[in-house]
Amino acid sequence: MTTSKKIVLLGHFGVGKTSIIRKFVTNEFSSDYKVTIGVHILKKEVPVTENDSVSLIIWDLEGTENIDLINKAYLLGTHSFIYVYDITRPVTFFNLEENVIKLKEKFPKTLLKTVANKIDLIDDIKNEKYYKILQKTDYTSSAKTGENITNLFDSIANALLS
Amino acid sequence: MNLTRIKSAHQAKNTQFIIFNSNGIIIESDNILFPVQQKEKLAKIHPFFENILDIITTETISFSCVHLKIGAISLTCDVEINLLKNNYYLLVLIDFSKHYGSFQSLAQSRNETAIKSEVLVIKNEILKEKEAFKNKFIDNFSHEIISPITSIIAFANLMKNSKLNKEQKEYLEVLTSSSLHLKSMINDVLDISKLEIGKLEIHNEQFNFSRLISQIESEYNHKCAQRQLDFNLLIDDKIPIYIESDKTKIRQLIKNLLDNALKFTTTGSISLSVKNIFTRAQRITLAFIVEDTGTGIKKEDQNKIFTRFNRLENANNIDGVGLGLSIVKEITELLGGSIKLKSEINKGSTFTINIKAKYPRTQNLVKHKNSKKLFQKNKQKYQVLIVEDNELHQLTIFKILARTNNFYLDIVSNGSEAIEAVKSISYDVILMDYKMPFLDGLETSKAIRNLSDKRKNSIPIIMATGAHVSTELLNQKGKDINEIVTKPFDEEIFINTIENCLTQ
Repeated sequence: MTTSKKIVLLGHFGVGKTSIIRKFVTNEFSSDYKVTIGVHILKKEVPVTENDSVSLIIWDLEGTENIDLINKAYLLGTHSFIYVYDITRPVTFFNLEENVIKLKEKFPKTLLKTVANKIDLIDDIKNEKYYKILQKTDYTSSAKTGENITNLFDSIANALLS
Repeated sequence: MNLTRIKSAHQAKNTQFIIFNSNGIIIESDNILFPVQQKEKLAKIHPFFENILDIITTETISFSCVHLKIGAISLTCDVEINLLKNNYYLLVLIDFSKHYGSFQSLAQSRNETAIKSEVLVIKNEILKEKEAFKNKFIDNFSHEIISPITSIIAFANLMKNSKLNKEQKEYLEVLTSSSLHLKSMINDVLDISKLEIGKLEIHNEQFNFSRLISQIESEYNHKCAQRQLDFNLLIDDKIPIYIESDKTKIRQLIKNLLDNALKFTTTGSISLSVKNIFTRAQRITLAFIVEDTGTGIKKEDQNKIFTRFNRLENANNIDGVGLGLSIVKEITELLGGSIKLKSEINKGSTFTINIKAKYPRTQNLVKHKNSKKLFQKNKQKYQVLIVEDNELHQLTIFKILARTNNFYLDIVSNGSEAIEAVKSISYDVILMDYKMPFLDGLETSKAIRNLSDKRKNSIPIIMATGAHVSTELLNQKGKDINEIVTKPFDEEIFINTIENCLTQ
């Protein structure tokens, strides 16, 4: 049986939300940055058990640092949020905690995962510069190398089905 | 003409209406933007329409800027979902592809610019971190080198006063001059690293300018005589005795120029002229002119000599790393002055520095005493605490002070021992090393100042530091510490400073 679930990717612009989705859905990556305006929606089916699968309807939202500015209709009926930031740009994660709190308040029943993307650009992940923020992050990922991309969506699909 | 008809005809071009039921089945569509079939499931058209049945309510829901790719047709639409009667819904799609397309280009350029500037800030921070690391390394490394050199110079000076034969005296002379040369090069490197990070600051004070010039005269009379050169000092009558400026840096400027002249002059003379160029409202412009009869500098090379690490072809046999003149230029500029050079090959060079300073109207504000005489007159003995972790430095200080026969000396090697010693003995003065492990000199001084006993918390503290006095330390002068002396100790200045503290 296939169940349909809506996943919304949030975060500042240029953090790699579109690239993560593209890598997951079509296994492609381009380092050229193309800004997203409004919303793009893609779909991919993830088998969870032998008989069950989840059809992930992935909403790729325009990047913004302030989640209050997002068109509220975009977030209706969301089953899981993925909050993405760019580990190389502190400005994209300085308000991570604040945004996570807001999302949890507004959508207490919705699954939320935080992702530090572009991890391939960091030489030393144990550097104290990143340590503090990574402690508060669920996944590190790289859309370029594919690191953790499938894991991220698979774990969400599993969590949503269970 | 019917405006309603015109309006609806205009809207009709970019708007599609679809009616669907509560099962998500299409009932009717005008297919203006893309074709759909009756009885087709809405969810099959595009993933956007999946989950729509989960969110529809009695209120209108509006989505802006939704990208839809349906077959070969790509659209960017605003979408509205309205409840009609009998569980039927109206889906309105308005195509704004053109409008959002132009907005996309604007957003692209806005975001790219923002990211570029963020990346620049980050790169700049990384560079600053690297620079700070490098400077810290140079600072620590130089400090580590300066300490043993300090001991070498101090003990060589002490040895000069012992019984030596002629050969030993000559060896000692070489030892001293090599150590001084090494020390001067390290200080140059330290200065450059401080100039680089803007840490070399100006610290103005009122000082006896004529005494400074006399000291320089005596030093270079001796140095020139050793090389069979004449040294001439020409001082303008209108030069004030006291001025207010950065004494250390003025001394450094003049000495760097004279040292440079010494390096390139093998016969003839070196002269230093000090002139009053301009005086008005307690402000004075002074000129220091250093003239030599040395090798001179080619016209094409004259601009190069003020750049760092630049050594001219004819300087191959000359000691140094090529920093002296670049430091002179940068310090002159830091003092708000300027430097000029006139030079002719094989005839010599003339460097002229102009700097601005203040001078006090009353020229006897600062009293200077001859410490040695005072101590000689005074049979009283003073209790001195030496706080120094380096045993060689302890010995140097001990030897210098023991010779005057005016002091009882206690030596401790760290801040904690110093605090305990102060609590139990009444000292007249404390000589404190700045860089010590655990409690450093400033922390120890602060702890002494915080003691409840008024007599103990006001004991004069003299801080001993490396050649480069930190801003942090200078800011504490007159607060937690009374005086600062630099290593290697100039015996006379050292004794003089102690005497000043004791008579305050």
